Amino acid sequence: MELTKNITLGVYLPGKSSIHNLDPRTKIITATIMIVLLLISRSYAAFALSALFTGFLITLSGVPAGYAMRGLKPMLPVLAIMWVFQLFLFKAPDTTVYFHWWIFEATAAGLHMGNLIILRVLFLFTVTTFLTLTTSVVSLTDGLENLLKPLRAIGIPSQELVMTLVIALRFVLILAEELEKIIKAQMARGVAFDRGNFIQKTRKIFPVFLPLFIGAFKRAEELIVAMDARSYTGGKGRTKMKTLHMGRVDLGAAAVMIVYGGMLIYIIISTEPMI
Amino acid sequence: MSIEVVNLSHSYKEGTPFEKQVLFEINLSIGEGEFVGIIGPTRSGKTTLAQHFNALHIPRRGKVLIDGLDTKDKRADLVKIRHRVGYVFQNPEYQLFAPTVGEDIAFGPLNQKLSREEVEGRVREAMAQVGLDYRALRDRDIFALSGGQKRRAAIAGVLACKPGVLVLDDITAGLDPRGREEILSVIKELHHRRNLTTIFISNSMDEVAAMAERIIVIDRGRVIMDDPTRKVFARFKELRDIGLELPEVTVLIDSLRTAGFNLPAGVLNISEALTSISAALRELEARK
Amino acid sequence: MHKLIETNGLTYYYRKGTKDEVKALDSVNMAVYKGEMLSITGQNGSGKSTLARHFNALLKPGQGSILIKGLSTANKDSIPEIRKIIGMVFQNPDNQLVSSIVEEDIAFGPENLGLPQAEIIDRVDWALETLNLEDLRREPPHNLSEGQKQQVAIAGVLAMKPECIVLDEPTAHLDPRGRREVLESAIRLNREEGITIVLLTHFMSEVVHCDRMLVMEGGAVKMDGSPEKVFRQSAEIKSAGLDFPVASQVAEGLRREGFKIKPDIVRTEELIDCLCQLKS
Repeated sequence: MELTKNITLGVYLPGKSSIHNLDPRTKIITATIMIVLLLISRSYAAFALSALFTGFLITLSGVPAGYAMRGLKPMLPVLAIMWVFQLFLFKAPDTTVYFHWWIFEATAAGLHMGNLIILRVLFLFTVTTFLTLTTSVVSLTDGLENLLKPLRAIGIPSQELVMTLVIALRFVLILAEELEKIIKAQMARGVAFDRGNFIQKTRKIFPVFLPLFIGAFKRAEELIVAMDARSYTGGKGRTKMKTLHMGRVDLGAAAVMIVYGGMLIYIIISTEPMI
Repeated sequence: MSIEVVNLSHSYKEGTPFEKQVLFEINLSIGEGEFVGIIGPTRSGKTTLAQHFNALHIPRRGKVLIDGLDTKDKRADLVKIRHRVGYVFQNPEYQLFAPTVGEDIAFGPLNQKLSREEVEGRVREAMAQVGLDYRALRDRDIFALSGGQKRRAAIAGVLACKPGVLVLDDITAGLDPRGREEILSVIKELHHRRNLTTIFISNSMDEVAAMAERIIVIDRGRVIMDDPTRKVFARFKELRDIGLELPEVTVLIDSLRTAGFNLPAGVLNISEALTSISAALRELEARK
Repeated sequence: MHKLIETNGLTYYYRKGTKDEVKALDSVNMAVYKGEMLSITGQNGSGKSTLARHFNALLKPGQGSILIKGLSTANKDSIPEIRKIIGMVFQNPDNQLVSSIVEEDIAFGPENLGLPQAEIIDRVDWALETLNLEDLRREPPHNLSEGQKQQVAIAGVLAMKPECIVLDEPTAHLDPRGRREVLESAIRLNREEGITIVLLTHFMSEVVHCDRMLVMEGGAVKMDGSPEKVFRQSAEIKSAGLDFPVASQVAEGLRREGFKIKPDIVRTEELIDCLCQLKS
């Protein structure tokens, strides 16, 4: 029984690579640009370049590639179903029909649409996981807070929002541990979580959530009291121990991003979209 | 019931960069009706080891036999094993979930597919065993109980499964002295009356010294001592080296021995301490 | 002696005005003196935690009053000042650590006070050093033992430079070594840094190291005095559901056997001294 083993999103793997040493703002902006570019990519060539670039980044960071992709494992069945749905149900005029049965048609358009969606999900997941694997929660939130600061001018409480995120992230691990404890306690009293059909399994989940929520509320309440006791009154008047510095690595990263971005945009414009 | 652990090793997060081995080639056996204490510093692997006893962890290397039944065996009925080896978790009251005391205690027996009457009988018996009033508390809202009562209700929930082995994981943590005493006397009573094999994991050396007949000391995932209680506490220097504190009386007697008093090693409770100090003082007086 | 905290007829109800109303504090009159180490003990539900939460204005009095260096917690404007004077550490370290890196967590309080960056860094360094946590400064708390986490929580409060630290059962879930480390830290902060300590605990082995102890029962202060004086009242101690310290139990037993053991022994070292004197 180990629930936390396959969670990679939000896990930080400490290291000393140049990726680890980047200013978090650089990493957040880079990741955002990469995601936007992926969302406008529609050709196999564009995805091939993105794959190469992502592979280069992962190698540079020293994060084991297998571990970076591990979190995908539980998602694979869902992805497979999505792909099959697109293959048979996506309709387009003037497309090659590979296979025909009753009202279902596997078409070239469907195949490409399925591929496109899978590729996007894969890249989206890999880029965000990679960001959290190489950036500690603290610097991630420091970076976010800094980047979102201008929003205060238009009345958005960016610091409070980021503090909420910090606490939410801290609680994910704690809640996963709590959930594991509760499931174990119920297994110890004879619940077989691994047995039964879908409905039976779902029914077994209910008794787990009640203590989990009660526990979570209790913890949240205690945390609020503790923060209160340490004079937290929101972002106003707060100072920070650490200030962020952009350095030479960040300059290098910007140069790399400009080259990659330029190439990718050129490919996106000049190649034939898959659909 | 008996428990046999053979060459058991265990790692957390196996196959990830965070992999950490927490148990190393553990060998031990616990016989029917024994009262065994397990002590060790935090994160020494006590809980991980104990959770192998009721198949919450299945060994990947080595094996665990419950009454001769291998928990690794594909045909082994793990649900049955978990009913036979009752496990009371740390802060068990946090895991209560049914609206009433009676319903929560009935949860285990209902999973055993017993008849209504049988389940009710089990609930009544388990509540009596932990000293909760069946008539007054059966239909009480579980969240209206006091902390100590909730903990006893949680223990009753495990007893209602009629286990042959009871594993207790730090069950007195956070209780006040009276609450501690009440829970411990329930456990003692159960052990004596029903000859229940009891495995008692605790952070309080005073409690382990008072309760257990035999102690297993775990340090960094290895069994470093496995002896009768008195013999274990006589090796106080080693215990202190791995970060365990001795029972306060043991410390007192040890300091007096160093100061030149003629006292036996491994004194475990106040009445023993009194007898031996009195004897030593009388002897001194006689010599004067 | 100078009073840091003073309560006057302090009364508090949980769920006031509903049918489940509970009187958690019943006209409590007590004081905490500057520089002392005070323990508050009593069974679960005796009101000690409720009382402690009044010390830094986490709860407001239902009736009566509480003054912190003359400031009333009922006055909203005084609260920031009061929280600078009184720091608070709670039972479960997991629920009070905010950040996922030790030094960042210790900086949280000073950051809230809006101190200049250089000052924050100085204070974090000082707090880490005072509690011997320098080696752990860049660790994530989940890599720490429970005892170390609790030390980090204390350091986080210490970095705010309070005059008084209130510890609400800080050792309830720790192993013996963690318990000893936390107690030793509290004693050191009191003796060496001059910080007033209020320690809520169920462990009599911790109580005996304090200058003074309060015993609470049913929301009221039942006993108040030095441990030596309080543990003399055996009937009251029993009715409050408390233990006796091991040393006083042994001393009492020896006295009954007819040996001349001096009265008021509560600490192991005192008993050893006394027995050694008998021997020579």
